[in-house]
Amino acid sequence: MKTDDLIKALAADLPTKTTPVNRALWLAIGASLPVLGLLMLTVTPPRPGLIEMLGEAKVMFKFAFTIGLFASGLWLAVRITRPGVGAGPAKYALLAGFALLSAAVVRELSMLPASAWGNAMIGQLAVPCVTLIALLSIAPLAALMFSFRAGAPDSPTLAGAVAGLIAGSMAATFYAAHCVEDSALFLSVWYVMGISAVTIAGSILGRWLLRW
Amino acid sequence: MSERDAEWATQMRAGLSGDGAAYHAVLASLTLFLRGEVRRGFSRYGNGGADVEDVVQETLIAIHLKRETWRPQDPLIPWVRAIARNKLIDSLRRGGRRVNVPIEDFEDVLAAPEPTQHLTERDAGEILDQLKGRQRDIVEAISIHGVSIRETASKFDISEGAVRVALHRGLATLAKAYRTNES
Repeated sequence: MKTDDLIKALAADLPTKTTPVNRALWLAIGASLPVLGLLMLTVTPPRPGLIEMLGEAKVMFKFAFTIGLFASGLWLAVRITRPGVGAGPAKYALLAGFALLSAAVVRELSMLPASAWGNAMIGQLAVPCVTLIALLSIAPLAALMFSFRAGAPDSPTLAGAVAGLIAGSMAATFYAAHCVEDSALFLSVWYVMGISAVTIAGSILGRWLLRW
Repeated sequence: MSERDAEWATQMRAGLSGDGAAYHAVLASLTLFLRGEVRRGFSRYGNGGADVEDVVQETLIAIHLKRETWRPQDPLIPWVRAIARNKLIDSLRRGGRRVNVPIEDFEDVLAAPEPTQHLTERDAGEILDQLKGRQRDIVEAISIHGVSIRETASKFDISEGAVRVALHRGLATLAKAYRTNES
């Protein structure tokens, strides 16, 4: 096919609209919320007394961390799904989230006697934490992967990882309402492990699904 | 932003709001620009067995299918160049090369007309062979034979909507064929 002929076909296809990637992204998040809400009612009900506890610094920080990761993930997503637009300042937002977590860990270590560090870190719910974050992230990850296909990322692997980061942090936010572990140490190990697992899964999927 | 970018961006904006003639014009201008870019990339990194025109076509299809990833307030050329760079790297990788092409290497080059006539005249690969049946007939009619959507619809006795769907799917299939073609 000659290139001039190809252009004719492309111009003829102009009235068939394609979806802007940002709109697809919001749709994916909008579609995931009711699924997560349903899972919250059935699999991971909110802990007793959640509302009263929201005022506590530790609990507040847990949500601030997962929601912060979610927001940095979104910022990364709206950038890197467009060709030639790098992560830019969005990666500093992500780093800032982890810097804050590190600060909270240091503060907790300084407040707890060394003998209590192990218990705070291991907690009672390490395995369910990682498993449930992974479970809750399945629907958002699927929706986000699908939405990212409207984009044209320079690196499909990185884009997949960002989809995983968003899905994992959404899942972690919902899980945080269920989980009774509020230690920053616990957060820094098990929540981060759960979200990282979803991020890695996303990067592997993205490598295959987000090529364009 | 260069004068050339401003002109092409204006045409692209018009195209995105439905002006087919402006869209055709900007794609034609970009074709000349892309030939220069791709040839330059090939001379720097080797061609990995591919033909300039194959990469140009693959880039044009990507520009078309991913046109919504360009924001109308942005300059057009950096976006086009980023797509070309991605497609060039894909093409070099298919040729079995591991490459890391810095974006700075795609300096502005003047869109030069083709020095040789035969390159534009020859068919760039047999990419249409990737399409089958009615889809192929429809893409071929609209591209090679330049038949309108309406005429194509009456020729095959199907609705214009069905022609549009077949055309769009055909183009998406072509993009996919380039991706999976390990030539």
